[in-house]
Amino acid sequence: MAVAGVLLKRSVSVVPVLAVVALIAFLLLRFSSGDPVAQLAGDNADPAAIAAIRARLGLDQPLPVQFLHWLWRLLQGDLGTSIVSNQPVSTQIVQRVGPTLAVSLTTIIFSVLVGVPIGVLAAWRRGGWLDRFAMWTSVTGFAVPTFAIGYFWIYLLSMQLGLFPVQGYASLSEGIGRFLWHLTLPTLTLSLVYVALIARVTRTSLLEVLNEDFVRTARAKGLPERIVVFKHALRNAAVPIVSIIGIGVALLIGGVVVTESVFNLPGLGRLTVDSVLARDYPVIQGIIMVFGGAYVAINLLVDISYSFFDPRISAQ
Amino acid sequence: MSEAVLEVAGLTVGLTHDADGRRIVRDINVTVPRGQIVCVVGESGSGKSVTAFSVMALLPQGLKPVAGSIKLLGEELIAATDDRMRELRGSRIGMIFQEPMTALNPVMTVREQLAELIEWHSEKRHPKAEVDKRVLAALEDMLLPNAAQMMHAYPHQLSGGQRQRVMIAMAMLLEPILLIADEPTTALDVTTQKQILVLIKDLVKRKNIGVLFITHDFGVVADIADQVVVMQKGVVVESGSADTVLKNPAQPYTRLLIDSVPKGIRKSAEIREPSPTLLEVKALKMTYGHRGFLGRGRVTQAVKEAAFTLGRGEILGVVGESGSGKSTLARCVSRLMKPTSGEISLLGTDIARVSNETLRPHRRYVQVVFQDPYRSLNPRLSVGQSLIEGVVNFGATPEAARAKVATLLELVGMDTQILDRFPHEFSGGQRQRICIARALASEPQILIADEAVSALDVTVQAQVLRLFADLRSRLGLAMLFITHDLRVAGELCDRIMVMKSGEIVESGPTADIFDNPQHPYTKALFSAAPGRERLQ
Repeated sequence: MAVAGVLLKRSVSVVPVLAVVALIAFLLLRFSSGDPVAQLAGDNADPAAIAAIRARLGLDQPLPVQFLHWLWRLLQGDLGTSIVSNQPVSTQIVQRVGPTLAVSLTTIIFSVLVGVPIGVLAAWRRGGWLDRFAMWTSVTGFAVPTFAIGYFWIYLLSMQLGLFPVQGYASLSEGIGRFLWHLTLPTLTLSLVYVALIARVTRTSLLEVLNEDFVRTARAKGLPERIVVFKHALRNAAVPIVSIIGIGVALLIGGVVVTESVFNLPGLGRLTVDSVLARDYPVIQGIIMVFGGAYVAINLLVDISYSFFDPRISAQ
Repeated sequence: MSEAVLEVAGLTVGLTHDADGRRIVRDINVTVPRGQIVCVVGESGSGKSVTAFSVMALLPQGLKPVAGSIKLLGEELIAATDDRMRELRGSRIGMIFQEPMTALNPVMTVREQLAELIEWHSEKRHPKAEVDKRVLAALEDMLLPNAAQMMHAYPHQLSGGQRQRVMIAMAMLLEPILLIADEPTTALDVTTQKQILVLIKDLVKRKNIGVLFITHDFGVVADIADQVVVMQKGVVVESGSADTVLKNPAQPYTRLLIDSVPKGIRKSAEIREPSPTLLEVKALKMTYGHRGFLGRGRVTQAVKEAAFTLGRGEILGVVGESGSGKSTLARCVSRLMKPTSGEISLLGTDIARVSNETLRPHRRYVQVVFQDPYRSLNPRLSVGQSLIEGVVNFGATPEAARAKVATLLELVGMDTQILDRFPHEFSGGQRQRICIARALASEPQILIADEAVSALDVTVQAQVLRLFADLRSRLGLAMLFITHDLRVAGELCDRIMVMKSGEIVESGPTADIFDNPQHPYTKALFSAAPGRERLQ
């Protein structure tokens, strides 16, 4: 089946998933404590003024009506308007998505480029010093919290060695050099745990594959060891590795919130924190929908990639 | 005698880190002349595979040759560098393996897997058209149909026989002078095995290569060997020309191996009196896969309209090749699977489509023994725990269960002192006895043996077959004996059903089937049985 056809079929099947996400996002906020109107009106507002604001925002209507109203506009691609800034939510998200996307992409690329080779080498030289060192490092990567790693890099690479800026963000339009220079520390910080995760999964699944009969066949064919490992074994180990990369990307979004705070990046993570503090319902709902959509899209891509790596799995 | 392609002299293989000098194989001498097939025969643990892998310098980690010499056309291989060995593997020495499904890389096309040999065994780059031409020629040489399309297929899209032909094409692609075949037909159906053996024999003649052929089956040896080397526990016990070894074996062990090959002749042709019917199967159907939403989707009819009866103390053989539906039939009768339709009347009750709740009291009457005794015992439970669990399940007190287990072990010929030991401490044959004891724990009326002796060495196989016959006469046990091997069925069964593509194509008393097979498929199975001419 053509990839486009599969994509279309699967895309339709994610609609109910996103509908459930929308409902949960909506209800979660309505039932959590705090009132955006009270915050907006300030401490000394009289009840009539509060009621007026409530009516203007449509928050005086019954919940199902509010939900359907929001959903209807969502279907038309309208995420609503921020209660606090009166800007369209989509505009706010578009303004903030750049840094988040940039950090996520550099992190995942870096993690794959470093994690996979470490895992391969560790499996190939199982029990050797590299294997032991890699696995020890990966335990550390899991154990140390992200913010602590962040402060460690800041201390070492910025304050002691003066190599990278402590904080801030430069957009791509300011030049690729500056852009990457600012992203280095956040990327290193976020990557450690994913490098550890990917290296471990790569090592384990490769170790399993290296015991398979076809690896023995490849050696019996007189192929050089690097071809045996990278061409024959690694491709067969790819499915679990790709799954973990997919999960990694999804989890990354959570990690970004912390990292953006540590490095003062104006991204979606910061926007989320600010909106939650202000009880800015439309913005929070919008961000949840965008994240939900991203999760679903990543999942879809991972599933489709399986059939690319393993012809026995047919894309359906 | 013609020029020797391979000369193994005094080969001894030991452990890399070993102070007390344990030897895996000792003082092995094998010579493979050009244009001949030399069979190395032995049971598991005899060291036959270690010998083969020594030649390839692909011994498992921890093993290394400690003495002796291996010469390929006069070139010493034991002293050869890793690079030199890599050059020789694939180009001068080709190798094929037992299970072609797992020996081929599942994510690479046939073409990729063959083409990389050309790529990595020559200095210069070859144009794609030329590589394609050579790959195609190699596949066509193995008589593969539609070779041009098959080049772009993945292994899972081929049949077992086609996969092994692809393996051979790959091993022969660079025209080696020595082909090492490690049990190349063991995992194949008998009719396919026959074709592959013919193909290998033909290759030897046409290309004038030497073949080192590893097998456990003297039937196969009788079909193809020019020379025979018999190994036991790491040493060569006998070697010589095939005719001499087969007709006048000098060693009792060789004699035993030859005699253990099932010949399909019933030792006692007792006529059993009609017995009460335990099991009656009518119009049993099993269909896999579901019809899709709009009535499309693929549907496989694994069993089509099976019908048979089984009486007390009767052994009914179900013979068929892979995909014949014999295992599905067994799983339906034991209700490990719910059949699509039909009737399975067990002691008068129809259990074909009843719920698991209703089924529970009937389960004890039908028990199953599976093919692989290595995987059907829980490795983390001691033998005692595995056995007692079964007895307690059917309502015995723990004390009664212990006593019962001891009787069961005696029944299957095992020491009762083994209860605290774990499955990995036992050989395949011992484990299968334990599995049988476990199956007998519920005092079943019917035992289903699903390829229960196929994974065992021939001498062990013969012992387990005797055990089954013994259990039948002592306990009056009825058996459904599922096998791919007509010869094995012939040794044990009162009646035989032959299955093909989900259908029972022929059934009748064993003697009738053997003396006068009716269906062409049954006849084909007989003519494919290895060693037919030379061993009878």
